[in-house]
Amino acid sequence: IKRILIGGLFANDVAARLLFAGVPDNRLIVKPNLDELMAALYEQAVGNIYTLTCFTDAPKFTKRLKGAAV
Amino acid sequence: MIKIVYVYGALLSQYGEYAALKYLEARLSDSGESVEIARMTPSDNLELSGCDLLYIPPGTERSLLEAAERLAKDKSEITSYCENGGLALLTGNASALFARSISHFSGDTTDGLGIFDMDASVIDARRYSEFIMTSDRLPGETIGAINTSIEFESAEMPLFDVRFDAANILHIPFEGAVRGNVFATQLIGPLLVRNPALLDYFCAEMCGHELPACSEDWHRYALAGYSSALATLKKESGAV
Repeated sequence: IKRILIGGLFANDVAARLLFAGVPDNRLIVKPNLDELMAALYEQAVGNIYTLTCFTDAPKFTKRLKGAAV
Repeated sequence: MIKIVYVYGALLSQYGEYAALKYLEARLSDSGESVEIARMTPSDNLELSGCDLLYIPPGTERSLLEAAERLAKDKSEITSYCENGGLALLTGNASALFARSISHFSGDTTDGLGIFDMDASVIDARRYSEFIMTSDRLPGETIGAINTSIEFESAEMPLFDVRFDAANILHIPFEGAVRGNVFATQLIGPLLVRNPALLDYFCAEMCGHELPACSEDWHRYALAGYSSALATLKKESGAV
């Protein structure tokens, strides 16, 4: 995993916690705005993309996927 | 050397509140302070001489009752510490440990430490809400959540004025308790993670002086997280 994109209301909080867990800051891309997050995802992601979401927030991500039938 | 006594971290481990301890340690260490964390387990006898902060994190309602029974042996030590101006912070359900009693909807009642003039009840319902609160004793606006089945009947001085209660669960404009340097709130977040100004307040109280500005990346993210969450809550409240 080369980059971790973090989005949503608690994006900055998650970023701080990942730093405490030892993830270097230069691997984090923090985009609280989900549209900006998706733009960064489509612009920068290469290969497999692994996604972790809060279960109630999953549709906020999936409905922004290109070609999503939501 | 700053000494933090962290009570029952494994038993009272809820919603990642242990991260507050990580932030305390990092903020103090990054400022050049030496920090000792005394992690107390239920089999330990609390020793509070030289303690700069007694921190009791939140636990589930079930683990809280066990913690209350285990802490009974330390009642005189904790009472003496609090009465002599010791700094203490209790978050989430841990607030109930300093009540006179904790009654359970099943009919059982457990003695609390009686530090505060209040009684706690575990009810058969859960309440959740997001908050903005302010306090004469603490800097700025405090954000956090309450997620609990515990209610209080309190004659104690409240810690917070409630400025916004998103789900309107409290029905009163006050929350928490404060006596001397003992601070208790049902807010979680983790409280000191989501509120950098509170983190700095408690660090300064421990050190006896303000800390220098923090330039660490984690603190930059913490400040940004606080700002965005506060703005979102204010928008929801109609304040902006």
